[in-house]
Amino acid sequence: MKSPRTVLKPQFAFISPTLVFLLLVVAFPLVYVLYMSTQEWYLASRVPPTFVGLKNYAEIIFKDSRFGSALKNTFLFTLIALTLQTTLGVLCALLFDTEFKGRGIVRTVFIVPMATTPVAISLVWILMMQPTTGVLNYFLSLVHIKPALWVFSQKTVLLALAIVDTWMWTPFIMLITLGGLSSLPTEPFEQAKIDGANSFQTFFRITLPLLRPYIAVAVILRSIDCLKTFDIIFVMTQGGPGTASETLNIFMFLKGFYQFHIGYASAVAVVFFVIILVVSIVLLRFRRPE
Amino acid sequence: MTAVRNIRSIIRRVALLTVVVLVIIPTVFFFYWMFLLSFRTNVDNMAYPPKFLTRTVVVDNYSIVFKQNPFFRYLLNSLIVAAASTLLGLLVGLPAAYSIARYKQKGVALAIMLARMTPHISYLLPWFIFFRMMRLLDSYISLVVTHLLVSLPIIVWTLISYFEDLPRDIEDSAFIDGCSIYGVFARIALPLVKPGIIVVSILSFIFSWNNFMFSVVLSGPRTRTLPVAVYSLMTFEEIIWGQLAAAAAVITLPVIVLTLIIQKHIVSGLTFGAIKG
Amino acid sequence: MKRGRFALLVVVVSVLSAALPSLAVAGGAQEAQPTAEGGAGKEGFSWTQFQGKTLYLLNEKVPNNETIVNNIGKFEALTGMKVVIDTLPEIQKRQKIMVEMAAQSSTVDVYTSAIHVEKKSHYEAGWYEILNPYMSDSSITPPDWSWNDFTNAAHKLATHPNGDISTIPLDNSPHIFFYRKDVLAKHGLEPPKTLSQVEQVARKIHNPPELYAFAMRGLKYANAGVFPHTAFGFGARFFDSSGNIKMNTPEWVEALEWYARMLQNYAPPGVVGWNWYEVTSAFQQGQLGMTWDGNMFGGRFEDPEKSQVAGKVGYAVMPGGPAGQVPGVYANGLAINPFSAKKNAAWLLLLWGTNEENQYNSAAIGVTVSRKSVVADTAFLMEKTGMPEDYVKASTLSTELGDIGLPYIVAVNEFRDILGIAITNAIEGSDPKTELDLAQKQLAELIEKTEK
Repeated sequence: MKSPRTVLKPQFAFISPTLVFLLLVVAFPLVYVLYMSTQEWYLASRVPPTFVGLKNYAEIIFKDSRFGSALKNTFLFTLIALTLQTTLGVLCALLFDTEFKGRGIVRTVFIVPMATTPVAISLVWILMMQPTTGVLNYFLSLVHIKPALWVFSQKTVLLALAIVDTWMWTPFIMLITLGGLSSLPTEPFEQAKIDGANSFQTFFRITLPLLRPYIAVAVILRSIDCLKTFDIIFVMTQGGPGTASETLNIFMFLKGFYQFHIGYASAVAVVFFVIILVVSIVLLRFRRPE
Repeated sequence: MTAVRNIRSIIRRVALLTVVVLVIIPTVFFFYWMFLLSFRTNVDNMAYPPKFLTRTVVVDNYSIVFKQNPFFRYLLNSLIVAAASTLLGLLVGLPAAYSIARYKQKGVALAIMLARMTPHISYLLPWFIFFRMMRLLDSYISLVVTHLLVSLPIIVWTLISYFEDLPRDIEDSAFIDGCSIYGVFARIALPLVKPGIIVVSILSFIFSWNNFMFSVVLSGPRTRTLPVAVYSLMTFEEIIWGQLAAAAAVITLPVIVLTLIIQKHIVSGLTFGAIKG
Repeated sequence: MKRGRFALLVVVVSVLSAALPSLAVAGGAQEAQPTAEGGAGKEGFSWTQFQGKTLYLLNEKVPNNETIVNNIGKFEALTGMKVVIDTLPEIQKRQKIMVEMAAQSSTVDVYTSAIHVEKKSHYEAGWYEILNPYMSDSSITPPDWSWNDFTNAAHKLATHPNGDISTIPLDNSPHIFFYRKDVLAKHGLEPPKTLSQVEQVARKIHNPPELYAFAMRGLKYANAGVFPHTAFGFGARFFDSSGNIKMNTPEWVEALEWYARMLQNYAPPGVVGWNWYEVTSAFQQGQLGMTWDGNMFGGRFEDPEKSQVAGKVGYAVMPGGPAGQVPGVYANGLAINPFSAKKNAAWLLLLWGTNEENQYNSAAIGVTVSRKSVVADTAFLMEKTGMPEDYVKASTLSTELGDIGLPYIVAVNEFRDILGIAITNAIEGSDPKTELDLAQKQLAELIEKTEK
């Protein structure tokens, strides 16, 4: 054992505030959530919390159809949004890799949506998506497409939300892919030109495979965030119409902060946490072969 | 031959221009529309087919928004919380980033990453109960500390690479001169990563400013931040489009400006330094 | 270091977290005892007996409560007290109440209560101070004040089955029927009195996109504030004869089929996202033929500056069905926080907030108030509000006929949530019977968990 007089090792001193923070603000609450998930606790009543073991979990997994639908919505939303963002992001990266006048300014404008306040832009999006008076449906009518219901129908709400998310985060994927494009070696491309490959073949056979690691990073980061999307859904639909856009996050928020079923909401929180953890590990594993 | 090549290049130019315009229109139109709605009367805003230009500009929407709600207080609160959590984030994160870079403390870095990845809502419940018990709901402390959860990972990760890029020989020569590791950190390493500090400060400020979930649960009438205030505007109020757009503009304008200022760093940061902005 | 010390920390943290919940509940208990308060003196009642004190009023942001906020200076001058008012939208106010009450905190003295939602839940939770003793305490109640000055409807709203009075109602807003009399006249139609007649009229006047015949709230949770009392006309009731909740009876199914059908066929697209704002807005802009919602919107419809339909609106009691007309009534009232330390002083605020002057102010903007004298003053109402006679008649009659449009249970919020989802799904095309069966299953479980 070290003597108490030993000066604090610098490795420890530098990170001690961080460790304190992690412990108090992160670890402790998580342990507490775990504990609360074993209680039946309705904050609004005078009844104190009672221990019920794993009953909340049993109810979530076996009885609550709303949890199942929230799970489905979460993954569906993520899938749609990711597909849109990644495709557009990669294509835009190709564009920004080409030289043209004013490229810097265009790129600067292009990345602004990433930093906007989600709550604020959601408000404007709702106005634009109004079925009868919104400007988006007006544009659709100009090209003779029937007006869409956007977030006002259970059939289209997830897609509409995914579009908003895509508008915000495509620049993110674009930039990461762009970085990849700029660091690609030139030999494969020169070789391809000599071999007489056209642009399509070059893109699919050479560019894309070389870009894989970069796109993978972007996709991993975005997928975790998509699973956790909250602000835009909360402001635009609150999980509606009905429960069509109710993701795990929204469902948990409703249970915990509107209905104050603290015990049950904690159990949902733990399950959500585990899901994200598993997805993260799976995705990280997935990229290792590169 | 040159004629064909010229035509080809013109077609190419036109195609490029079209693509550029298509790509940039969603962004440009969105902000144009937002500001347009905020500066017009309700009658003009609700017209259908929509009017895309306006002859008159009114500031009523803005003045009503500020008058009907203590928007200045909300603005101030957003400012205070963002600034304080950024400052705290730097105080806690700078030494940590340095240490992780220098001593390769992968465990700590991983812990921070895990904290970042877990859904924030999982923390919110215990925080809510804890702060309520300590009577810290509607206090700046609870907001600042919880916003750290968003700012700390950004600060630490970004600065790790900055610190890693520092040449060791400068530090080594300082050691030889008798400097302690803390001295080296404070007097040599920090000044060298100043550009990095500026970037993460602004990024951290932006993310704290944009934060909604923590603030909506933990804030109260005294500490309400802008995003929460806007959400309150929406529920159970006569939703006048112009006012909504004005509120949205007020909230998001500062972070847009900040983004434009550091856009170079965002670009080079996300492209791993390949693009210099 | 790290292994050993870290493990210790984890143990400490776990022990702490086990102890916390008990702290959370016990921690507030000291607050519950109110301190002795200033007396009235031998002269009897005096408005200034608590002067110098400060009261905290938690106010919900609705037009019905505006007069109190706008005129609070008069109360302060009258009593020498100061009042801090915190105005919040519905959901935030409800959250704040829950937070304060669960902590048994004395911060809030008076709060505005949405009686149609909170009546039973707050009563069961002990979040209402029972007002009966205050009414008969002459040291804090002026001799000329009487509970009988308030309407029967107000009494019904404020009183619990065992006689406890928990709030003083500020208003009781019936939902009344709004229709475009010009459109009906053009088609030679009489205003419908029954729900099936509404459907027949709708078929004739429906003319998209200029005029949609009918619309109501489709947004979940909000729609549960209008659908139930619409269903009353079909004979639907919340509870069966044994007192159990029963929301999937044939009457409820028929009602939901009607509601969904009407909105699918005659309402503008996107109606599933509509709350009262969108519905009344559309009516105001001349896009709707018929609807029913809170009667205070009549004021907006008749405002020539904002409304395209001023002068063209007919008002009537809500159409009913074979089981009669039972308009829905929704009410706000003033309540005292039982954990407040200044309850007697708070009582004065209740008295003042519901006095004649404030009631007249609310009535002037179209709110149906709870004082008999104001409600009976038809001439004033018509002159002050500028509202036509049929509006005044419809409002008054609806109040007497009506009943609270939500069940007398603790978990009203969850009820609205569950029912609201069923309604929205039905509007989107799902089978009403299936939806109500599912809702009934969830509601039965909910009731079992929350009612004792």
